[in-house]
Amino acid sequence: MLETFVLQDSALMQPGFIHRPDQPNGIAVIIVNALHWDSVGPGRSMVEVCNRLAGIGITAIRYEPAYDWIGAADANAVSRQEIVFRSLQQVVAFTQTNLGMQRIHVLGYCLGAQYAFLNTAVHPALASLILVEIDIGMKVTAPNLLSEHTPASAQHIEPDRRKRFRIYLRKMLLPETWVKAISLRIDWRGVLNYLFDRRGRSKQATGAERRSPDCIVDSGISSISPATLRRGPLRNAVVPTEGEAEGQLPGLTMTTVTEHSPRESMDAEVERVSEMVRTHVGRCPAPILYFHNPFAAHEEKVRRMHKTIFRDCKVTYVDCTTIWGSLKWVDEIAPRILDWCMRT
Amino acid sequence: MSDDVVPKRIRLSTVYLPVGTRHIHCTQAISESRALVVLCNPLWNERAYVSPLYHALMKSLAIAGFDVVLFDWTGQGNSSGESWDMSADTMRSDIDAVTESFRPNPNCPSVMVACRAVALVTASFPNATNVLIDPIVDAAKWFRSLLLLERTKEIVAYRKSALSAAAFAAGGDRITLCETVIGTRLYADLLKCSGDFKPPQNVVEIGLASRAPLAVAPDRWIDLQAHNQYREAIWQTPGKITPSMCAAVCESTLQALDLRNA
Repeated sequence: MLETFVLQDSALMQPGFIHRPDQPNGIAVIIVNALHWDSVGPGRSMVEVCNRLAGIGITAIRYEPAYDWIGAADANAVSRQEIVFRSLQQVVAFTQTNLGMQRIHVLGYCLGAQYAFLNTAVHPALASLILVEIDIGMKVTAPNLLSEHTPASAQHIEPDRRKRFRIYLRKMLLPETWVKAISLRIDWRGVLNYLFDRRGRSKQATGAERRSPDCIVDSGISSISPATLRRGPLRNAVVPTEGEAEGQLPGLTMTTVTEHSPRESMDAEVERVSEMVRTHVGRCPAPILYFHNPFAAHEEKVRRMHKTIFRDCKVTYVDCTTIWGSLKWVDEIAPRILDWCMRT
Repeated sequence: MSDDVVPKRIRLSTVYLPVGTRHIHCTQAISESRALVVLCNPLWNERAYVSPLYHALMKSLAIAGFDVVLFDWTGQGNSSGESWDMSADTMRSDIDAVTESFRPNPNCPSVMVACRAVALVTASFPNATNVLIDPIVDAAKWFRSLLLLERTKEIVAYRKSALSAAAFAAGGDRITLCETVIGTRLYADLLKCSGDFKPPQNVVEIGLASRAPLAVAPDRWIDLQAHNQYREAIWQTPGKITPSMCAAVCESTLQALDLRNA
């Protein structure tokens, strides 16, 4: 049975969905999606995950953190991280209070996994974390808390050539690889570059550039004035531009520092994020179930990074054999999640 | 944290709207009822890519005093059904049901904001006021681009069509593949809409000048590329929503209302 709910307070309104099982076993799983996706997920995969969990007795909850109202008033009043953390806390509180669930597990995907991990470190009231392909800053697709933590260690985690060959040899044994090869969807030049380290130096330079502190987390719609919107009939008005503004998340942009972005506020934001990561990484008290995606880019790199990020954490790794988000993958992880939730 | 981020006059609610045997999931932001803005999600994975824009748009329009409703088509997102249940008829009945159910009063004007191929359906409504965001008017070309963008691969991977997977693995005929994946009825319907397409009245279009051949000769045209905001297609870059882009869509909505009143 699917129900909807809306949580609303002074800073955010977030609709969500409860997938109720016919025979509940007292376990609740909250899904934290990848933020730049909505709670439906690619190909409705998250709906399928929740349905499957509800089918085996778990109450599954999805919600939409993208509905925050950051930027509707004072852009500097709140940070994106606070909003994301606060929204998860609200859903946890809602699950405890309104649904009467005490054993709550959080399942985070990608960037959502990162936020869930850091949030759980701050608020250790959850039974466990279930993480899928945590985003640790391999590519800058969104403001990434953990990437602030990684520049120093990122340079020596590239797997050596022998391991790279081993990774590709393993991939060559997979039928999916041959399907990709036959349908001409393999970037052979990229593979060769990776195997023979042809882009190593330029990559490092790019990485350093990307991790430059010269960026500021800014709220997405802060520059829209309600007065502007109410000014009545409009002709083809020239829309004010943002210069080099680059949106990275719903309601959020990563803006290159320009004369319009005060250096002081940037420093404060970067410092706040850095402090949070320094303080909380590696200190997650909840046990972690981690689903490895064998098809992920930089898989080996990710595994090495985990040693830093999950230090002092109790992590159980599971190697999936199917593509992330596919129905077979949903079939594969659902019983494992049930087993994990029953044991923790 | 600031206490005044969410204006108190705005209320958000979600509801499953019954339409026949189907249930359409709607998210509604109730504001000052200046007009009803119906945000029509695009289809399949383009829905997720456009989602950040629509969420931001919902906020901006609600703050500007509009009632806004965002809904999932039958067989899409959080609504009931599967994608092969869809047809142009179900889409039209979805729009009718949503507009009639959420219109605060009979005299309240409404604007439909549609993105991509959905524009083919919304633009076919007589006397409708439209804001079209990078609309598709050549459905066949779009179907081909689905494959080129590897969107089909995702759809095949996530949906339950063994035939699609087989066709994909064999690198089979693209049109057959699209037809299989998308559902024969909707596939044929969208092709027909594309063939019958007439530029609608009261339309503001937002898109790229470089894609002008796809444009629908709108009454108003906002070229986002000219403002350096729309360098890449939004459905290919999730989350790449700038404040200006959101403002542009809000302004175009106001323009559409202006056109309607003129």
